[in-house]
Amino acid sequence: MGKVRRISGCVAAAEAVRLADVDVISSYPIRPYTGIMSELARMIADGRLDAELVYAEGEHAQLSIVYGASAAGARTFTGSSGVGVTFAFEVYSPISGERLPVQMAIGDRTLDPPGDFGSEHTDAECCRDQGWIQGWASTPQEVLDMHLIYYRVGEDPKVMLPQYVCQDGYFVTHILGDVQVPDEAQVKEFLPPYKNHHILDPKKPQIIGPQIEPCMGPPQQYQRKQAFDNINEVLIKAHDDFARIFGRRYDPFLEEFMTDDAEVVIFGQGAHMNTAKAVAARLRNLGDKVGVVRLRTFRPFPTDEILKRMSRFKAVGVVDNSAQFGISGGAGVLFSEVRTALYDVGDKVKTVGFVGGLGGEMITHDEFLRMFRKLQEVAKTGKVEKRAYWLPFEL
Amino acid sequence: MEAKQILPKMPKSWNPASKPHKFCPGCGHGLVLKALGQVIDELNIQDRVVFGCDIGCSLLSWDFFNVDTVQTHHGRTTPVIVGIKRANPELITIAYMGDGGGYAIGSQHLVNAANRNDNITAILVNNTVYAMTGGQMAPTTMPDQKTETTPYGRDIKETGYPMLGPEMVAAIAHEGAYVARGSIAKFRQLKTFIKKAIENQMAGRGFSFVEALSTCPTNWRTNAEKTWDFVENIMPQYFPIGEYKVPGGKEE
Ligand SMILES: Cc1ncc(C[n+]2csc(CCOP(=O)(O)OP(=O)(O)O)c2C)c(N)n1
Ligand code: SF4
Ligand SMILES: [Mg+2]
Repeated sequence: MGKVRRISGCVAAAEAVRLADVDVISSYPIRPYTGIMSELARMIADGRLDAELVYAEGEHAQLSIVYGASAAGARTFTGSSGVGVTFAFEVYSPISGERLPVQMAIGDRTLDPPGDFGSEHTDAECCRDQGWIQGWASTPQEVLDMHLIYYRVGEDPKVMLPQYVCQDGYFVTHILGDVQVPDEAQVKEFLPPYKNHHILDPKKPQIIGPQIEPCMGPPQQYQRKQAFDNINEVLIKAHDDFARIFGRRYDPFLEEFMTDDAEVVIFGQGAHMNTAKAVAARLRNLGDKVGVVRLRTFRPFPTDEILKRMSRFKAVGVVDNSAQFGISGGAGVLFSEVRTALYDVGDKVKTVGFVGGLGGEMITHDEFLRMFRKLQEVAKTGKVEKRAYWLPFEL
Repeated sequence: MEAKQILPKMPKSWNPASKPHKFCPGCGHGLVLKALGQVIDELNIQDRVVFGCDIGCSLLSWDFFNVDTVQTHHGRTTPVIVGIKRANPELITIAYMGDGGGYAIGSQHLVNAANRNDNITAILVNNTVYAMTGGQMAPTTMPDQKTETTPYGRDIKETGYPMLGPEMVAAIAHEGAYVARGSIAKFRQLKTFIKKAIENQMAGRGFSFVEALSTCPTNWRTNAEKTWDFVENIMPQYFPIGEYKVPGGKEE
């Protein structure tokens, strides 16, 4: 049944890559992702992993290498952080357009500026609409599990799409947690060997990625959209099988914490929600009806789940750990999309956006406390005086 | 009584407020920048220089000089400096980068600036690793050298040979270009190479490029003696020191 090890998010990701028996890996150093590539290099040097590891000349090459390897039938893995993620941008859509189920780890880091070593979701969220499955893990255990689940979903014949597994830089990549590392037999049962029939094979010649005529564009894009529409069903099944085989059950879309009779909730993704939970628990002790909803799957965005499950709250505070200047709603992309998802319930659920933790700063207990208090005020008065707040400047 | 700090003599073009500098003890970056500072003083060009530094440990020089400075992004110093030079050809423009910045992620820029014979000077510090990110194998890592990602030494059959930058640039550079490889272990010669490179730009002859063999004791995990032995004796076995292209075709 595997064993428990105290490891970081980076090592957890590398363990998942080893367990998934990946064939081709490409790398280029950038913190905090570097921890994953160094661990993989050591595994290969020690004979614990048999894979090709290509030391690329940059992230653009990194993604192009796994594009080629995946097109030739290999299970692939790559990863990056911050400006490394954006430097590779051109290649993301071609990978999903050719329906290559490449997997990429993103250890979040700020873009330039501020260009410090801190974590922000801005880097990974830049790539949100390139046709990749995308989700955030909040602990090293969840990192390992999400990597395995996403391989299985992305490689499903009904899906065949690439996946980003994101984890907050430092708060997850470099913090140790107790992780149940499963054994190979369990993983084999969960994740069948990778089989792609749409590969470059001289015996069955085909063309990948050709220049097409404008009239071929709409059907190609529509096929990609249809593949996206298939994800939820596959995701649910994968989570059920995962729970059966490994004994750990996650909600595929939204993790709810102390929400049963909650009137107001904080909504967000990633490791900052661990802090939000601690604050919610404290407030519960004081008798406040507050909770936390943590988004696990960001792409596809679970619009219907949110509509179904969140219309029971009086006020929802959406926390964005990213800077999207000029976005609708005036906070970040999560706020904008949650508001859209809740549009159909009308004015019943009030929403407020909070931008926090920029530059890699912590979102402190005190800040979450102020957010909860603001939400309680909104719930009580039924009035939203200000739609969005940038912390710590505006709240 | 107030203790008086005794500072060594610094080039005039240095910014004393940022000294002692931010590099680790025993780092070679400081020596390369000392050579550059002395050259700027000797050519009396402090008010005409724009210094661009890459991301890598070279970025720790963003406030090193009392000259206009731009810190760019990883690998992109060469094209940023090209843009500055095209906008104002009166300036003397210097792109300062590491081996990862110049030979990996920015190699296309080095090649194309050389091919366009852009009238700029590029100085590349070869310390055989990606130092700032923690000492991973770089294109310049020596055969059998241990790094963060090659714990048992670089296997050239698996990962290829160290990149020979000046040789490559000299092979594609055009008439008028200046290309050399020096070493911090031969300080006076390195300074001469840097001076000739900048004079080449001042004379409008075209692209100039100097690679400097340098040290990174932090990531090499070497003491002072081993550090110096590596840069002085081991590195030149693979990276020969000398001039690779001089205008008019005479080589040292
Ligand atoms: C696009 C991009 N990819 C990766 C990085 C991460 N990074 C920062 S410094 C560095 C390596 C620097 O190595 P080198 O250029 O040899 O300079 P040194 O630190 O050795 O002087 C890397 C890979 C980055 N900043 N930007
Ligand atoms: S890590 Fe290496 S290259 Fe960077 S400052 Fe320290 S010694 Fe110099
Ligand atoms: Mg270097």
